[in-house]
This record gives sequence, structure tokens and C-alpha cells, in this order.
Amino acid sequence: MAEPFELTVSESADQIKQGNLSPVALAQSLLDRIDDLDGSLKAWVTIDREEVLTAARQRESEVERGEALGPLHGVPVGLKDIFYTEGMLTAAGSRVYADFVPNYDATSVRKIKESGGIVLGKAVTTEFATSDPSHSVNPWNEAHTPGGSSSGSSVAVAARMCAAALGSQTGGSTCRPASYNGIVGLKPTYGRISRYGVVPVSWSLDTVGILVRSVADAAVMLQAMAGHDPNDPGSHYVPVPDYREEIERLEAPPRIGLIKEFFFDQSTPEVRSNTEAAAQKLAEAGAEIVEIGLPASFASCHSSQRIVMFTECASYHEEMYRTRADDYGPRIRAGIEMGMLIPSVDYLRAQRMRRQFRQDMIDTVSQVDVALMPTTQSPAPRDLNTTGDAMFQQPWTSSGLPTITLPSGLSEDGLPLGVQLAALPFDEGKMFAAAAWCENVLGVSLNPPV
Amino acid sequence: MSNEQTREELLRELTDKAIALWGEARAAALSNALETTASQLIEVRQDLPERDVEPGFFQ
Repeated sequence: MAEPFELTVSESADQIKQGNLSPVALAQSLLDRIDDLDGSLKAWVTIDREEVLTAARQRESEVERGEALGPLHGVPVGLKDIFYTEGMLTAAGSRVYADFVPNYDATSVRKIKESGGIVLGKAVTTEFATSDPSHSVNPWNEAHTPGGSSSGSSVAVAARMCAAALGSQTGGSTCRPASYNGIVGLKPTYGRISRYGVVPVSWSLDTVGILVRSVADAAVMLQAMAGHDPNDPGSHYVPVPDYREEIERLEAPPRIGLIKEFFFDQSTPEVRSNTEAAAQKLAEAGAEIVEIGLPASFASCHSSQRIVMFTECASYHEEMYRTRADDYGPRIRAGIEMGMLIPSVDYLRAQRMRRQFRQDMIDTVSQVDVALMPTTQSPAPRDLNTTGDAMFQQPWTSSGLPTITLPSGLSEDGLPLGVQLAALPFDEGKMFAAAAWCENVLGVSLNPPV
Repeated sequence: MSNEQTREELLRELTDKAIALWGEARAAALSNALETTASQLIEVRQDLPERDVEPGFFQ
């Protein structure tokens, strides 16, 4: 029988509901796992063990009293340390925020608690969720980057220190570290999950991300957090479907659009052949694989994303930067400074191009059920001075379309590889159904040697 | 700023602005970032959206 720390979100929640697993035993198992591994993996920045166990005891008594249980009842969840947690340090990996203790929970955190979830702790983030590397360690090989900016969240989920963690994505900060660590990463449609109470990088790009080990868990987590929030101006009113129903609603194998243009050109031969092999396997199982191209507006999408990101980042940090520039790391400081130099006309031009680009990407993806491409150009680089390159995730973040990454094998060096699926805005249900089908056909579940 | 500006002219302009704001030493330390930003701005300026397209802030 599996140890509690090995269970997925769905398995944990089911066993707790059936009375076969105590929330206290689950929390203790994860805390013990963290004690065993985190000295070397450095995925966590703040854990209040007493608070975790107190919450777990409360969940346990709710089970014993036969109260209505939420979909995450008794399940501990990790939070990237940019999510506001009432009364708990939220340092955003920064000396500037080193003493910041919010007086409210982020909307996403509140919703997790309302669903019965337990805040396990705050996971390491790169500084202000940008590109100065964190000290977290890739559990597959310590010489390789774990990616970023959601580095601690990804490492924690991969190493079975929690079954789910929240991340965020402004460029590629959820799906890239998920792929580098061999887990499932979801970047929902922009506006699907509230950003309220999340330290921003760039308001018009930031998306709350989900790190888990199965597509079903991504659906459960999104279900708990999705929905309109009047506190977030980017939040949408689009109704939230029942993702757990939609994930089962695949009547036939999906029609999948393989995007070789750009994504194959920029990949290593090993990544290309891994993605081709995955597509071949999916075709043999009945999927219709068609090759689809990219719109002309794709050519400048990376530049417009960077211009928007730097300008908005500079706007958020301007006041703190003025008095504490030396407290910023080299990359975020340079990014803020570039944002201060970018003319307003160019910022607005980039935003206009993003609008056009989004429509073009909708037209592209609407030809199929989901688009398929490699998640990253290579496995995690052997370079601890980088978090990797976001170029395969940026187009989806900039256009706001949802993506999910699945593990698709190991490289010759024993590092995880992944494939990324993309769908139309707010069509996460269809994306989950296709992704769960692909997950089942590919049959790749990775567990690092820790 | 003119759309006709070359990358080199734009880089010079950004560098001058950086020197004015943060001094010669900091501007020199930012030379790679300035090069990249100049390239990104030129790319965006060459790929103009249709006139009727409004910005997509929260899309």
C-alpha cells in the first residue's frame, strides 16, 4: 500500500472521504517527507508545522462529525511564496518583501481553504517570480536547474512533498519547471483564476498556475479556484463548468494539431524525436494528428510579451526601486530598468499586437481539439545560473490560451521531457479530456530518484 | 521616436537615457539588456497591428 505522501490529490481526497485515511496522518506523512528531503532539495521557505497539524485535526473532526466535505477536504497544498497568506510571511523570494506579512488570503488561497484544503506551507520562488534563479534543487539531478519561477512548487510536487502546489506564469513559470521536474503543470486561461492577493510581475500577463502529478488533479484544483472575482480586474464572468464531468466527456479520440513550425526548429533532436514518438503513439491509439502552422503575428509575440512584462513590472516596482535598488537581484533589477526606458507608445503597440495575436492563435487552435508541441526546447539545462528559456510557453501566456504539460519520457541523461497541449480560451474542460486521454495512452509517470 | 529609427539609433537613445538616469557605470552594466530591448522594440515597431485594433490588457 502506498505511503500517504505518495498519493495524488484525487486519491487522498477519496480515501479521506471514505474514512480510509486520516487528514492528520496525511499531513504528518508529508511533513516527515519534507523533513527527510528538504535539507537537500530546498523547496520550502516557510512551514508552520503546528498550524498544519491543527488544520488537519480540524478537518479530521469534520469527517468524524459527518459534515459536508469539500473536494479538497484534508488535502495539504503548497503555495508559491507570492500568494498572500493571512498572518504568514510572504517574502516573494525578495529582500524587499523579507518582512511582509499580509493581512488577508489571496482569493485562490481562500477558495482552497473553503474546499477543505490545508495550507502546507510556502514554496520557494525566484525573486518576485522573475528570472534570478532560486536555490531549489532539481530532484532528478542537482547539477541541472529546476526551472523557475515556480521552482519550489515544482520540486515539492515532483519529490512527493505535496500532491499539489500553486505557481504562477507570466512567461513560462509554471509549465517549464513542471516539465523540467517531470510533473503535470496547468496554465489556465488568463482570467480563469483570480490574481487578487498574488504579488504581481505583470498584471496583464500573470496567470495562477497549478502543479500536480495527474491531469485529474489539475481538474480538481482548477475546479476549486476558478470563477469570477470582483477584486481582480482581469477576472472573467465565463461560467465555470464541472471539470470532473468534462474530463470524462471524450466521445472519440481527440483531433490533435501538431505544431512543428518554430517548436521543432528550436528544439534539440532528442526533444523533437520524443514529441514525434508521442504523436505517433497517440495516432496509433486513434487520435487524428494533423500538422498546423502558426500565424504571421507569431513572429513578434516574444518581443511584445517582454515589452509588456518589463513595463508593467517597472510600474509595480517603481516606488520600491527608487529607495531599494540595491536590494534587487541583477536580472529583475535590469528588467525593471528596461521597463522604465520603454516608451509608452511602444508599450501600447505591444498590447495592441497581443490582442491581434490572441485572435490569430484562437483561429489556429480552433482547427483542432487541442494543439500539441514540446513543452521545452531541451530537458533542464545543466546550468544553475539560469531557470531555462520560456520561449515555448510565452506565446500561450501572451495570448491567454490555456495549456497543460504532461511528462512524456526521460532524456538520455535521465532528465524529464514533456509535451504541451493548448486549447481555446475557457475550454479547459475539453483540454482536460484530451490531456487525460493522452496521459493514459502515453503512460508516463515519473518519480525522481530521491 | 520615429518608426524609421534604426536599431543602432534606438540603442544609442536608450543608452543615453540610461546614462542620464543611472550614470555611465550602470548603463555599461546594462549593455546586454539594452541591446536586447532595442531589438525587441524594433521588432514590435516593424509589425504594426491594424489601425482598428485596440490594446488587449485583460484578455
